[in-house]
Amino acid sequence: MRTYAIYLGRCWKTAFSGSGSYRLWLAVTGLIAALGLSGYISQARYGLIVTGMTDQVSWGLYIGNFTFLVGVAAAAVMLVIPAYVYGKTSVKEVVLIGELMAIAAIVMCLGFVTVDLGRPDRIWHMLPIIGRFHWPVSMLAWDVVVLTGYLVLNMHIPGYLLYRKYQGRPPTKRYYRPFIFISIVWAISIHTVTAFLYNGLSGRPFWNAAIIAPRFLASAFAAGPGLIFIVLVFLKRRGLYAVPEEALHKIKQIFTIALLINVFLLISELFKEFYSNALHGAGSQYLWLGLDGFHGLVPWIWTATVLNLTAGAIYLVPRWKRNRNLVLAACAMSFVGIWIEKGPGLVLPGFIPTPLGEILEYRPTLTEIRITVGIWAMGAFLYTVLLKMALAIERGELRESATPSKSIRMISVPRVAGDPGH
Amino acid sequence: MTVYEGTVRIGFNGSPVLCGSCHGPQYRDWKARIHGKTTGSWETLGPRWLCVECHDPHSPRFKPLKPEAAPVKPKGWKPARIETGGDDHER
Amino acid sequence: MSVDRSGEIRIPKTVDSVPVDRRKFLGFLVATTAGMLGPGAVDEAEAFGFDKFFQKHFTELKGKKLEEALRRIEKEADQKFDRTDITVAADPPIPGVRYGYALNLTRCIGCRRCVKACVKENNQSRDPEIEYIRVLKMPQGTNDLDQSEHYYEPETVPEEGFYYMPVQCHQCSNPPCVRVCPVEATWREPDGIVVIDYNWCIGCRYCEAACPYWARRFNFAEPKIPSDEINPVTHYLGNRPRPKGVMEKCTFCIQRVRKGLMPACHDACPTGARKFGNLADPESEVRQVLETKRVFVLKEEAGTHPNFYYFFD
Repeated sequence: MRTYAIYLGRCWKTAFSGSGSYRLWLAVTGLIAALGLSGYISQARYGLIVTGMTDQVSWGLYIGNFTFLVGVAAAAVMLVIPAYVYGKTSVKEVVLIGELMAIAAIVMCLGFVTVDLGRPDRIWHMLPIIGRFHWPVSMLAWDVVVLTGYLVLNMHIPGYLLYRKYQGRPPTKRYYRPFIFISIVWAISIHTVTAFLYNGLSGRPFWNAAIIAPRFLASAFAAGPGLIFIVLVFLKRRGLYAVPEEALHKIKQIFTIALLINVFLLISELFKEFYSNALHGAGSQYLWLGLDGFHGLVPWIWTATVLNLTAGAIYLVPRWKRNRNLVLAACAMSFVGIWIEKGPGLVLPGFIPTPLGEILEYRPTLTEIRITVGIWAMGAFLYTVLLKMALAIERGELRESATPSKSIRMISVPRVAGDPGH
Repeated sequence: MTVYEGTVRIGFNGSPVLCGSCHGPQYRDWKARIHGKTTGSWETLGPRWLCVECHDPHSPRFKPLKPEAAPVKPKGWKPARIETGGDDHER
Repeated sequence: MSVDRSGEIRIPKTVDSVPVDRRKFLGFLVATTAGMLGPGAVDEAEAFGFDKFFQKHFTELKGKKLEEALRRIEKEADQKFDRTDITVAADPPIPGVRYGYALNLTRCIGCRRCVKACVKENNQSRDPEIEYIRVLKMPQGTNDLDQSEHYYEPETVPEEGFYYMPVQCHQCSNPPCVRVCPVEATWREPDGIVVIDYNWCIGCRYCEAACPYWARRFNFAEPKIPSDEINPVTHYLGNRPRPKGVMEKCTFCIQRVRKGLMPACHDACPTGARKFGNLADPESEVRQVLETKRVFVLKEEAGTHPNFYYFFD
């Protein structure tokens, strides 16, 4: 116990020490997160009236971001499958990066759900026994279970492996391998449950479609690994972590295929919504073409589509996909495009038009945006700090036996100026 | 009841039969206690009003009313433009 | 003679300030501190209370605990609205009763008297405005709700070429809102009314997304009702004053119907378009309607089995 406490203390120190640019990054994200928190205090005081939500559009930016981030969290598993199911050892070394991202993403999800609640002081009502947990009927109850479980899984697996590495002892297979395989199924489940949240509602035709769950997963596995790719290349280029080329190649394959499937599912969806010109296509009409003079989302969804198709093209055309910087740009493009698709592009057309045919557009307020950006900043801060600690252990700099002042550098990749070290 | 030529005197209590001799559906509903307004209790339905107690016999049709105010328009509200083949009206 | 309640619309006077005395001031200090630390739990008008925070779900409140909760809520409401007469009852459902509503679309003229009567009876917030009933102005010849108008304000109603359809909670027999609530804060009572425990709701608004009839409303801010417009006769599951951050909706005036009265909207209708009663009683007016008129329900394909029927005659 005491050694573990010392370990945590050393991790903490590692997390908050580093180069100037590292500390600046922490300061900036920390500051933005604090600004978000102050926005939330205002919301807690006055109520959700400070947001742009109304009875007509009763979910907005918060739930949109939540939905997108569940997908990003699930994407961590896209590294686990090739690493452990197909035994690609090169990918094993980077699974950690994905798992830590999953932690940050889930924490952000929990943040978004909490700020969206009208009565966060009553969260305890969801606990079984002392509260009333409406499981297994309510999909939201399912979501709470699977998200919490996924967070615990992703804290345990890297937590255990890193601690063992820190101690210089080999990990015991049965303490982590079964959980890794569970996490594969669990990752699929978190996003399926989140999709079921939407598509079980018979009163909202835009969401009441079987394609929602497959589309969620396809888009998640395009956006999430794209972000992981960006992070890995960043770490590699800055000499912070020796990322094997094969791992990068595997990830590229994954997000390419996922993006293509996503595009196919989109075409399927569009055909069904528009071919027969039926009345239940009103939400899709609002989103893609505008409805009754309202077209607030039309530029957004078309931008998202262009971004996704461009990214897809870059992933496929040989001359372009060989250019690493172009691929990085494509990853960023598909991340943004899919955020639009799954955030505002999913949530808002479910409410427009309302079930009684009213059209009221939604525009988030500054407070709402501030809180949202604050949560993203908090996630970035958390991910950065987790990576700093974990990579120090991975690189062998943080060891139980080693004294803090001396460190063993085990990287052979050339250094770039300004990289964090001791 | 039979209608005679000339003037017939009918008491107010006779209005249902008179009105009902042409307005059959309303008369049938009235007999079943589902015509027109009732207030009070759902357990025991209140007294049944005669036709003339609600409908002025010289001008039986109810006058149009001024409606109460529309709901307060929520923030960001804009009127919709419905395209109905040439007649663009706002709602 | 027909009932004509048209008149000038009064602008409600809102009550913002709280009378200050020392105990209240201390409560205010605790509240703002707790408000900083425990967001959403308090506002200036309510002090943090242990009993209130840990209050059980309504269905688990029995006997003394229920009495204590009811009295506590009465006191809070009295303080908040500067009154002395607010009562909160917990009348149980009458056995053997299932409420049903029928609305005659030929008779409805879209005057919105029902909407305003409901607001007064059920202590709905005036600012931000909450109205449980939404009257849809529909063009003749279509059932497509996307063609409805909600904000009509002509000189007189009805208007030529349109019919009017008021929509409120249908107290469905297969309610999607009840299905999705993560904390079981909303449920269907034995007499058919779908109710909400305002002290249990966490304000996630999943039920609002699930309702196919847009019948549920959320308190985005602390409700504001002028003190002199409060209806003091309330029910725990019905029209008692609600806090911010929770859902609410039409309960068929549970505080009235469980005492044998008609809902406020029913009594306010000047043309007698509304019919209400016990579906289990063949003599009730709603059963007479169901048996003699060609009724339909909205969005039958959603599978909700509403207990609110519409008909033309």
